Formats: sequence, structure tokens, C-alpha cells
Amino acid sequence: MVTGMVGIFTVTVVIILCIKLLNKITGKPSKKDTDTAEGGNA
Amino acid sequence: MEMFEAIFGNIANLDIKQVAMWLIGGLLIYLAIKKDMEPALLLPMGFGAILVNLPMSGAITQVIDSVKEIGVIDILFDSGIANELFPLLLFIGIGAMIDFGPLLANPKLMLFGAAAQFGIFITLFFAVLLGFDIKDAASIAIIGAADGPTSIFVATHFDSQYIGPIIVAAYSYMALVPIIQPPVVKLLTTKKERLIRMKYTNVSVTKRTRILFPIFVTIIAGIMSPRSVALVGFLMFGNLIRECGVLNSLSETAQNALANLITLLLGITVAARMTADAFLSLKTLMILGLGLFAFIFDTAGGVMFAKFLNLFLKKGNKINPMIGAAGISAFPMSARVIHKMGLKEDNQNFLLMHAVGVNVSGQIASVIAGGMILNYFG
Repeated sequence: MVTGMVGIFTVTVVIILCIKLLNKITGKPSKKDTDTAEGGNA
Repeated sequence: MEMFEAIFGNIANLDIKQVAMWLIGGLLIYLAIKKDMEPALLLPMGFGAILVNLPMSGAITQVIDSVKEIGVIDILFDSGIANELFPLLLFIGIGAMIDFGPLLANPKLMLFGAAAQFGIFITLFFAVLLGFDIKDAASIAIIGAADGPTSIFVATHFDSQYIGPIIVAAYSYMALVPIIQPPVVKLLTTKKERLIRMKYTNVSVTKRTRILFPIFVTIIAGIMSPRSVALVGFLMFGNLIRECGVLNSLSETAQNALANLITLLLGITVAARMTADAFLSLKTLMILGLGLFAFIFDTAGGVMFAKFLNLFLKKGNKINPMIGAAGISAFPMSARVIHKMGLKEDNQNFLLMHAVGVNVSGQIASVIAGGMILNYFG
């Protein structure tokens, strides 16, 4: 059980780091104004 | 008289267990039509359950006068499920349907997808305690992935004798997400926690990131969890077709024609393992119970992980723990359920985008969890 959860968190963290790296390499995403119209809280 | 016997003689081969399976098949059809519970799967499965439980049914393999007559359902099972082809092809369609944008904009949400796989591993432990063989226990536990194709893939890979009840449980509980999740979430959270508002910043993701993401995830999964690479790879292949921008007609085919065709065959083919002898047993009830247990603990895992993170977050950056529950694979149903729960507590609290991000991360995490299970016990 513990091994399973550790395994899945390890893969997840690597994927998160990979996404962050991708976002950095491919250009900084443009931050728009805080939006409520599309379902978010201001 | 002889003619009468030729026409009605088969009634003598009817078993009360087969009649019970007709009722179960009828129940699945009722739930599909009247309650709109995963109709694309439950209706073909229900009809298939009746089809294979007719006395001396020609749809499944029978030995008549020492001659083996292969039934069409068994042919479909051997060529589509036993070799894991149908669930993998279905994954191409699912991958083409998913927009990973909310996750790419806020990758930290993936942690909730991982946390919400807790139910799988705790169920595995209890299934072994209840006397199931480790491979059957692993196949049962994966019901908690809330991901039908992954359940089929893992159960088939382990050649589990309980594939019929496992798939019925997996798809039934997926349809019951709006009933199962809210009480668990309410039980584990306080009113104050459910009222937490989360800021949403609309961050755009470049097309290049969207294209590279499925390729990177496939490589990472392939290296770290090689057994999962077929599952992850086909899911990500479908997503690459969607995001590349030059294969729109293939993307549409994968999302509609391919997914529909496979779903159509999948449901009725699964019925090959729904014969009365294989289905009607105490073990089936235990599997249904363990599947529910896995779903509840997946939900609890995601919620408790969010509460744990809140211990370290400053006021104003706290996470509404309800979004953790969306870390299961039932997409987009789970995200909608959490969004509605948020609105019920405070009609100005919009959790949809956060919940969707967590929900798509649950899609990836459940497939990786399936691969991990295959790695450990395959």
C-alpha cells in the first residue's frame, strides 16, 4: 500500500516538474486578468 | 409430439440461476434506460447477460454431442478483450476527448489525482485479507480507479476469473459518483472548509506545450512504469492527435466513431464472463462491496490530502478540500459534482475550473496506478 502510493506520487512529481519545464521552455504563459466569467473566483 | 419436443425441449435445460441472470440483465437495462446510468455500457452488458444465459445459448461456446461449437461472444472476447485490444483502442478515443489545459496551467493539481488513488491500494490490502488471490485482489482494487477501460485492462492482464463482476461494479459506481461522493466529502469536511474560495487565474498554455505534454508523459511513464506504457501511450496518442492541429478528422473519428464502436462491442463482449456459474456467487457480492469501498477511500484520499496541504498554506491561499474528491477518473462527472456542492454552500463560490484540473489529473493518475499494479504483480 505504502509502496504503491510512494510510486504514484514519485511519477506524479516527475510529471509536474516536466510540465513546469515545458511551460518554461515553450514560452511564459501570458497571465490574463483574474477571471470570474469562466467559472473562477475573483 | 416429436415436433413439440424439438421446439420446447430446450426448456428442460433451463436453470434457475440462468433466470436470476435474466433478472440481473433486466436490472442493468432498466438502470441504463430509466436512470441513465452509463447506458452505453450497462445496456449492452444487460442484454448480453440475458443472451449468454439462455439454455444452450449459441452465442457462447457449447459442447454438443462431443463437438465444440464456438460462440460469437467468445470469439469477440478472445479477439478484443483477452488480448487487451478493446480497452486500448478505447483509450485513443478518451485521449482525444480530454483537454489537459486546466492541468497544464496549474500542474500542482496533479498531486490530488495521485492522492485520490489511495482507495486502490487500501482495497488491494483488504481484498487479500478477505481471501482473494493477489492478482484477483489487484484486479478488484483497480475498480477504485473509476476508469472502466483500466479495470478491463488490468483484470484481463491478470486473467482474473472475476472480470464480469469487476466491470459491472466499475461502470455502476462510475455512474453513481453523484450519490457516493457528496456524503463522503461532507463527512470529512467542515462547513468552514467547504466555504473556502479559491482564486482562479486564467493562464494560457502554448500549443507547443500541449503537443509536447503527451509525448513527455509517455516517455516518463515508459521509463518509470514500463507496464503502464500501453495504457498511458494509447491515451496520450489520442491526445496528441487532438492537440497537433493537423489531424482534426482523425481526432473527431477517435472521439466519436472509434469510441462508439468499441463501446458498442465492449459491453456485449464482457457478457462472455457473465454466465450464471461465473457470476452468481458470494464473491460477486464481495467484489461489489470492495468496489464501493475503493470509491469511498479514493474520495477520502483526495479530500484528506487537500486538508493536509492546508496545514502548511497561508490564509488566502487555502485549498477548498472538496476539490480533492475530483481526483478520480470519472470525468467530467466528479468535477461537476464538486462544483455543484460548492455552489450549494455558497452560490458565488465557483470551483469548476479547479475541479476540472484535478479531474483530468485523476485520468492520468488512474492509468499510472493501473500500470503500477501491473508492475508490482504482473
